[in-house]
Amino acid sequence: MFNASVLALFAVFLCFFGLGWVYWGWKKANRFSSALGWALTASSVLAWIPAAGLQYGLVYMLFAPALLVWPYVSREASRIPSRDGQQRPREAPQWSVAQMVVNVGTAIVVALVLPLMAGILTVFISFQLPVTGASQAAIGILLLPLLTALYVFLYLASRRRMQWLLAGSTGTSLLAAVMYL
Amino acid sequence: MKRMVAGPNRGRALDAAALDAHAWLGLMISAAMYLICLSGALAVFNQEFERWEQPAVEEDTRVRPKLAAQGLEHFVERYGRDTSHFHVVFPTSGIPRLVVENDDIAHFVRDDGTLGAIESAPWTRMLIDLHYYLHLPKNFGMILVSVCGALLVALIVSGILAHPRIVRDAFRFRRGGNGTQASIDLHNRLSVWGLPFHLTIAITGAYYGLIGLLVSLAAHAFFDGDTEAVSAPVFAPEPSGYGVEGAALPDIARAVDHVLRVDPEGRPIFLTIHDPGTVDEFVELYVQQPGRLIYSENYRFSPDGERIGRGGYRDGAGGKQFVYSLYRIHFGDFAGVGTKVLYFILGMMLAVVSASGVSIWLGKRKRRTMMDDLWPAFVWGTPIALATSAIATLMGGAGSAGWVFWLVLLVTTSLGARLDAKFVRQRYPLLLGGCLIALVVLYLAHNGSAAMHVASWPVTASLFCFAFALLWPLSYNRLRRPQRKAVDSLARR
Repeated sequence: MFNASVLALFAVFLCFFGLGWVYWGWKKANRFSSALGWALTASSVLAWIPAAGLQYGLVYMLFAPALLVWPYVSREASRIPSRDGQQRPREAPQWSVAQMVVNVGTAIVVALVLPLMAGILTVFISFQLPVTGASQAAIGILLLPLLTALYVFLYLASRRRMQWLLAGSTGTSLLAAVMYL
Repeated sequence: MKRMVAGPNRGRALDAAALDAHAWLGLMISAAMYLICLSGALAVFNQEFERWEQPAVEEDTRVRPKLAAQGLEHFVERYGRDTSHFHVVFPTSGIPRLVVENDDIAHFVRDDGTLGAIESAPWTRMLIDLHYYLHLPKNFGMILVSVCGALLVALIVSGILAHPRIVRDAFRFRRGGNGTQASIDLHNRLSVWGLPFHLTIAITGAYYGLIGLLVSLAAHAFFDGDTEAVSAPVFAPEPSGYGVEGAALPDIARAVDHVLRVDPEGRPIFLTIHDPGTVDEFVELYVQQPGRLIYSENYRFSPDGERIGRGGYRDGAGGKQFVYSLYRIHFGDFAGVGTKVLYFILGMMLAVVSASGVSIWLGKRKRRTMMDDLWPAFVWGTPIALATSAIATLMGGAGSAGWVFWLVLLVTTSLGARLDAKFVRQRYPLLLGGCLIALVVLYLAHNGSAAMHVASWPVTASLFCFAFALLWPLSYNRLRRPQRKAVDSLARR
């Protein structure tokens, strides 16, 4: 217990120290220092694992920088001139029925159609891989949100959303035909 | 709106298109995302809140098989056997209390094996339901929340692509101005440094509602619609034929004894009697494994206490272990209070990212509308509504926690349209502080000496400290204002 606590403290220190190097490298525009810092931060896993075990140690190594970076961010904090006097003019909200219909339609595509399309592609990919059933499930669980994200991003960032959607749904229909027929 | 174009400005156009996609998506799910993140960050402490809501219950950390069997017998005597499941929750589950329950009602078990108080934690239940379903019908709500998880991944991807200065700004934080730059820097710093946590939460969160879609698609494509065939490689199928129609209660003491002997390092979480009094009856014991992220290893027994087998989660295929680890990875419920605090802070950071994203979008517009006032009112109104619903629960409205939450959220948000955003940002935190003080005072009055129990004081003290931090500016301003006036008048002289 005592050893684990000491090792955990050492891991925190290593991570903090590594982030310090990253910060120093960033400040001086020195890529070598930054890379060294990242290596040190990643190496904190070597202390986390004996302190908390392999699985918990990996989780702590990944999440700890989000907490430990703030002293460096606050050191770099600056103040820009206040512009309190510059109030933006106020206007009544403007509602456009056409715009609302477009937005609701886009929302339905994003929240319903694209996840479904991603789901079909996910199942197709998972079951083509030469792995066992449990691994297929694990890969599917990882792939589904990633593919949904990719579809949603490509759709929303596209200049021609409707064409993109048509192409996507045609591809998905073909895939579904291969799988279900 | 600029969108992707070919040519020399393609990089910049991609940034702009990514920013457009990020903004549109962020606005679409911002309110739901904020509710999910805030309630999720708080729900990390659901076990602590459950204990806090009923502080006067006897506590003991030992697993006593005979006591569990006695408790179950008394429970069946009172409520009969007409249920699909009986559960016995052990004191090593995270809450040091022994509980017996069926699908509808749960009782604590006293030290002499008799039934104690009915388990009731309505506010915690309301909080968990808000996180799981947004208080919508369960199936629809869970799918919607999980879609938000998948869309959070899309927000992360578009956010990274929309941020060309991600390295150059890695440590930058600029306050002042009209506040928008500070919001942008806070949003970006929290998002970038919290990326591993945000991705983990988004992917594991998407699992719960969307796994049904995957299983259904796969079952119809490859298994003639047999969903059990899809899930069988991960979740061990339920055994059948070990029970006898109308038989007596199974020998759970023997099963628990066996597990304590063969898995001394494990912590029994709970035990389930599936389909009692039927041929499909069997006993399943869920045992948490130290150092492992899997939810549990499951030991299965026939009704007479003979071991049937294990679920095989501890040493099964990697994919099986991964899927069975998603719960603990998502909720941070694996290594005690320290990890919960870590998850709480990171979860609150994600809630701040959700809230600041909309503030940035609003702040960048050339003109102000009602939305500029409604959004901060909604952001601060949510914790006020949570605190008020806890007060309502304490005052006896156990079933009204959800209604009070939504009513107060509606009122506080609507009031934002009447008040100025600056006023809301200054006064709503004070109102929240006041609500928390009222909650603590009511709680102390309601529970008397039990409020000093170890089950309750950590939560009460945390609430008080948080309230104090929120109300501190009030006392600070009051104390400083006369001094400042005096200094000013001296300077004028």
